[in-house]
Amino acid sequence: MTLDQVPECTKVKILSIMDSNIRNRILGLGIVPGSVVEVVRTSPMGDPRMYRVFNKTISLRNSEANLVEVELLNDSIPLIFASDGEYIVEKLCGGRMFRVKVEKLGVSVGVKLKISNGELYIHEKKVVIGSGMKRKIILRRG
Amino acid sequence: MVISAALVGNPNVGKTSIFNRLVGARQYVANWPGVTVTKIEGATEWKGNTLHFIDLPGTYSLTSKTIDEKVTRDYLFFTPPNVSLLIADSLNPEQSFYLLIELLEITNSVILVMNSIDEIRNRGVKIDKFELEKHFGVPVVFTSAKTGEGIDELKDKIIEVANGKHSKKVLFDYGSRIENYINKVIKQIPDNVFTNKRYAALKFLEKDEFFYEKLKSHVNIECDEDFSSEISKTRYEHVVYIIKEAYSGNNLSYVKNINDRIDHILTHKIFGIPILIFVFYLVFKFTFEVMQPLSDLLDVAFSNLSEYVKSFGNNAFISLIADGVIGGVGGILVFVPNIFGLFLALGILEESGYLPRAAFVLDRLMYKLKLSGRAFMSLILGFGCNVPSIMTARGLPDEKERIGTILSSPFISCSARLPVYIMIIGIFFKGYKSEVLFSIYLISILLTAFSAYFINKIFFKGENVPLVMELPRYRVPTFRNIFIYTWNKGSHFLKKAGTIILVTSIAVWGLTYFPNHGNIDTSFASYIGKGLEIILKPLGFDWKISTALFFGGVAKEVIVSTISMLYGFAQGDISSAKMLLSQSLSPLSAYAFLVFVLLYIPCFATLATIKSETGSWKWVVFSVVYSFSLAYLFSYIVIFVGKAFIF
Repeated sequence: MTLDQVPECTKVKILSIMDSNIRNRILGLGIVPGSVVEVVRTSPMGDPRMYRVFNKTISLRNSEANLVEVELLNDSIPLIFASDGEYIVEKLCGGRMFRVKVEKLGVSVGVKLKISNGELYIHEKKVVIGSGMKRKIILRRG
Repeated sequence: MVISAALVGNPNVGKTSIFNRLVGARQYVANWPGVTVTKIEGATEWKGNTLHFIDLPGTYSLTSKTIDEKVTRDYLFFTPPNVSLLIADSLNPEQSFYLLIELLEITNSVILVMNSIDEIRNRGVKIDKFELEKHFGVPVVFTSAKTGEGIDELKDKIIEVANGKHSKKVLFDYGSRIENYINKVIKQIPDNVFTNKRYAALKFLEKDEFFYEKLKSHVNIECDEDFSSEISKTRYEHVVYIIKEAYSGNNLSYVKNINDRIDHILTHKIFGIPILIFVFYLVFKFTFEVMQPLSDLLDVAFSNLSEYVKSFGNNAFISLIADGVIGGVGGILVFVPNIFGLFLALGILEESGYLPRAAFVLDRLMYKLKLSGRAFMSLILGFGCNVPSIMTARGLPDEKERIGTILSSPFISCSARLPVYIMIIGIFFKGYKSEVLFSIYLISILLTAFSAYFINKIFFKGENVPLVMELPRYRVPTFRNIFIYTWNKGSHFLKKAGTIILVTSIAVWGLTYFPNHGNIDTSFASYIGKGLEIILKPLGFDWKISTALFFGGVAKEVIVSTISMLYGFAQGDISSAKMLLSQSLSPLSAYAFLVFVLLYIPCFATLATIKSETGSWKWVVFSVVYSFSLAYLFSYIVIFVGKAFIF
């Protein structure tokens, strides 16, 4: 997966950076293999996005973030990328409206989820959530 | 003893504030030879020594292809200063220490300056100075640019280091695999190519363009893999380890909270853009309304001064002083309060950390024009005056973007053109005032966008400008920094523009005064107008309009005064102006005239700024030719289309 595909609020680990003109600048900023980057927010028009590397906030265009190969961390998995298994909700990445909406479905921080055959279960009850909302629910492997 | 000291550091670590603390406002700004990166230097006396400081462009790495990095690296490598100061942000030391490791490969005469030490203390974090000195092998000074703490100690240390104290070589070990390759490369570098072989070998392995090209014919290593990621990774491992050893007390990560909350509002998905528009509305309001009374006062002062000088008699010399020098230079000086006001407002936005956010919010839009969000800030200022908009393009980190922004900003309709629009629209388009004005501003925006795109396409092959930008934490701007910021930028305008305008004002005066003692109709100026008329005839402009346009080349607001002089009506006397001007212009050619005034050659102050900012006449010539052609073309289209469809 490349960095530009990672949803907001998610932390990922850098695997490698593809060669380009600005590769050394990206490396100098601390986006080096092994370091952890958090996706902070997206600009109003969807591009560029803000990232946190160490304690600095930087901004990269999606076309540049596209050069950075990353992998998900065990305690920061957006629901949309979660494979079969058991998880605990770590964070809800959205405003109050969003939180109210997902809480009606039984999703709140600390709740256990199970995914089997690509379907989502909360307390053994099947729940259907749209992909937009799935991007905003961050899980930790349980 | 004269000691040269270079300031090296990441962007936004407070490098310039430290520089200001060290030398105050006694600094001078120049361009690096051959490139348009700003070179700021300044000197100060300390304990019988002259300390000469160079503020190098902010950079994250000394291995790169961008101009800023290259300038910094080449300076340090080819003309090493006596002492290099690595300014580090104590709150975010990782990237600073990374740069320090790179710097230590070039030189040993380094002082690590841990800035923002007051903020660290307030947060209950402790830094162990001796741990840092031990690991990096360089002296460490704790400073605060805000309070001035540590500055004297820093000056003392600079002298000590320049005298050869503290010098010891600390080699960073990149691990046996890479060290093996480094040694292999070192052995193959001929003595006459590089003396600092370890550095050259490292850069070769990192595939630094310059070193790679220089060495590839000498060096033969069996594997051609790219080591840059691995080398960077090793450096960061060092950095993380050293920070763990040297930092104690509270964890640094909670710094982010308050910033995130402000960012949530200022870069909000829905409110981000309206907030930005509102902020810039306030900047304009401040620049052009709050500062206006000062401008008006200057205006009155200059016209009174000119009247007073004229009261001494009526000869060529008095006319030169009154109309040429006072009238011409005064006409530009009335903009000074606006320009200082603008830089004051911008200084506050920049220092507080909002400007990079504005760039972040707008980047998508500018990306389409092959520019980045930062260029937008520069361009929008052009609505006030094109000069500061070109001057602020200095802040753009990318050469392509800077040139593109500089060359397209003259098409932003500046406030000096407004009096011309108001006069012509008042005379010819009474019923459609705002529509006509709006259409002119629309043409202005469209052609600016087109030019930015076009210039990138022809000169830089349509390459994208990368946006790798740090968003610094929000801070309350200090009075001191804003004062220095405003004074430096504003006085730069005064000096550069002032000299050129003085010369051209005298030249213009000479052309209108001679050979018939101030009779414009038969002056040299009128010959120029009559000469230009040949070219401008197809657009429906006669010699009087041509003369006005010629002088408008100096400063566009001069068009109004030239027209009123040539036709002999008082400024503001619409009814007689209408009658007289109708002899020269039809409504259609009047509209073509508006378009022409918008687009044709940038005023002298703008051209002078283009020259000083790009350092090359090539761009000045391009700007003149390009804008004149566009003006001619578009005015002709207006006439052609107008004749075909409307009349």
